[in-house]
Amino acid sequence: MKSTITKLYDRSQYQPGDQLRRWRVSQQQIQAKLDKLCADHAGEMDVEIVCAGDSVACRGESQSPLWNRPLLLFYPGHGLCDKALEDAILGMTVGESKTVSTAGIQVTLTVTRIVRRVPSPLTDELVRLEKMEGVDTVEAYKTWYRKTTEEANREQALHAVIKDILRTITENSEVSIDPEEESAWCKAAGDYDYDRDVRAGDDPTIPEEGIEFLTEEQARQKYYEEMKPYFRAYAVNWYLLETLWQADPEAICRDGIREMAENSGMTVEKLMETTEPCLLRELMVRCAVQDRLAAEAEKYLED
Amino acid sequence: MVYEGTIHNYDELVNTGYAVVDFYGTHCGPCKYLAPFYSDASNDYAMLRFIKVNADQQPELAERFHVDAVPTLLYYRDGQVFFTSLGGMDRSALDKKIARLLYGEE
Repeated sequence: MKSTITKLYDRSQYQPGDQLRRWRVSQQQIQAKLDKLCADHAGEMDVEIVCAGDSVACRGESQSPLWNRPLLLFYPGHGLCDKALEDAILGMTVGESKTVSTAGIQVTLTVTRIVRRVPSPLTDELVRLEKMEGVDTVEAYKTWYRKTTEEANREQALHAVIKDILRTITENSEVSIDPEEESAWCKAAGDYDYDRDVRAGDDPTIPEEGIEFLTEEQARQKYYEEMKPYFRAYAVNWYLLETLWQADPEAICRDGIREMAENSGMTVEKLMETTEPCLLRELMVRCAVQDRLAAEAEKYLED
Repeated sequence: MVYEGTIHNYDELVNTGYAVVDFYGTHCGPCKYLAPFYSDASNDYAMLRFIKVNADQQPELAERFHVDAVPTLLYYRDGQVFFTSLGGMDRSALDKKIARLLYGEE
């Protein structure tokens, strides 16, 4: 590759933001999960007076067919309808009628039923209702939730830190871009994306602003421009493979594509026909760099 | 609470009052995105029935309602489909659809 880094960012300066490093589940998150468990198995009780959070069934009488119905449901506090209506219903009792105005329409509401959800108490028996193998107590449930969530969180945090390291290197290194190489790559990648979007039913000639449609050439040119940051990142990754790890990016591309073809039950030639080769090579190089950065990224995760 | 709809209980679940049916697929990303919001809404809104139907496992129901893509949501008033929606959505968007079911014009 002709495009290269002329001055590499000093990675010893890199520090990820605190948010990126986090993967542990907090006590508040565990409590929220337990609260959800109790809510999922909530019971219902009929009550006499409407409070916020209750579910209210009313009979509606009005000149407007919109509100003249035997059953209208209201959920004061959730903002599903006109606030004036929700406020009018609060404090009403079963059997009570009230005439209210909404959007200039008069409607008489008679409360027929008020239901309050009552979260189930948190007990081992509640946990057993979830029928999770090996999880039959509240403590076991907390342990299960912490373990599975933290596993997923850690994987996500690792990938986020790797991406952030690469973004920082790409933005802060001096990169010499070969214009012809960039142009050829962006055109191939941009044409592939353009044609794929058209096949999917999109019309890239529709402008994002204004009413004047783009020509196909103009629309394609937009796609080429959008590919430039990806090419820059590709050039950086290529350089890193060669320089930091003394790896052979061409061999990595060749072996990666062969493996992908085998896993898909295709020949390499068939695989190359189904996608754009330059994007496939970029993917191979990017994955190779991410794999090699994983051990370094691990060090930044919270303890 | 979200009811699991099947060919055996579907009509009974939707034939009175207000109901929402979520036709979903097992390996569908937007369906997984919608699921926790749908579950939370079912906990908040009593007397409004929330039903989910696995379109892969209930092909007769999917065919009966011309469900070609998932998630497809059907919104019922007294056994009649009031309107439908297609695609995943967050809680705010789901609440807007529920508001339309409860207070929208026919």
